[in-house]
Amino acid sequence: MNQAKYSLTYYDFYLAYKTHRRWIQISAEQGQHVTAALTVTADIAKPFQIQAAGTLIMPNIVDSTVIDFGMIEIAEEAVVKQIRIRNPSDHPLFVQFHIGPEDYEDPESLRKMFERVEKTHPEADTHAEWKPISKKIASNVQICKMSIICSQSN
Amino acid sequence: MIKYHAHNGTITSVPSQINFNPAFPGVVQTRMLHLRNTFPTEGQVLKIESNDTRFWPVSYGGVLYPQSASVQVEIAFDPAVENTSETSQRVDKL
Repeated sequence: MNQAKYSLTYYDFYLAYKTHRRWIQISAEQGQHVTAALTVTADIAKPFQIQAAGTLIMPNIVDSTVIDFGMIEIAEEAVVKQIRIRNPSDHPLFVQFHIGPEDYEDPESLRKMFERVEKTHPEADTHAEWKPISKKIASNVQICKMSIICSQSN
Repeated sequence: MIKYHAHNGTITSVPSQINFNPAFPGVVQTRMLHLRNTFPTEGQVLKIESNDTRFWPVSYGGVLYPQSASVQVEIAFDPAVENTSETSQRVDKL
């Protein structure tokens, strides 16, 4: 992709897409069920094998993939919803929150969307409204909450 | 003159199979198992090899005492490691 042409937000979406594709590739190449044979050699007996088995899963950091704000009347006060994010890995997790397209996994639809925005606002900081919120979450099942506010735009 | 001793026995692992929890790249899991020696003589584990580089023995060692499960083996599983056909033998022997 032409990184200079598009904004950092687009690049973030692109990286998310690449990560998702990598996971699909791992699942396809290695399968979700993995097994191994460990051969134990001792000085008093013939070598023998121990079977080891594991399952690969795609980690999930949120409890729900849908945030439902329900019916909100215009001119009402802002509605705040919280999402819970947990980090199940051994490493710190950096989370960026974007308001983006529903089909972000499709790079073509992303490209079209960003081109459309670039044409509409060619000189401006085109994606200021999508400025991501970043948060660092420590390793191993730390739960943090992020607030999402739904309010009437000016 | 040639002298030898022959004994009846086996070395088995307890449990016989290791099952890891569902995993993903970013988490390394380990499991412990014991090696039981039913021979009437002492023995020693020389090496443990894995045919999948995502699984490897972290540690093992000690004496296989007769009629007991005296040796602990720790096996690790890291899905982030690229699986190759090479035999994995990453061991920190105790």
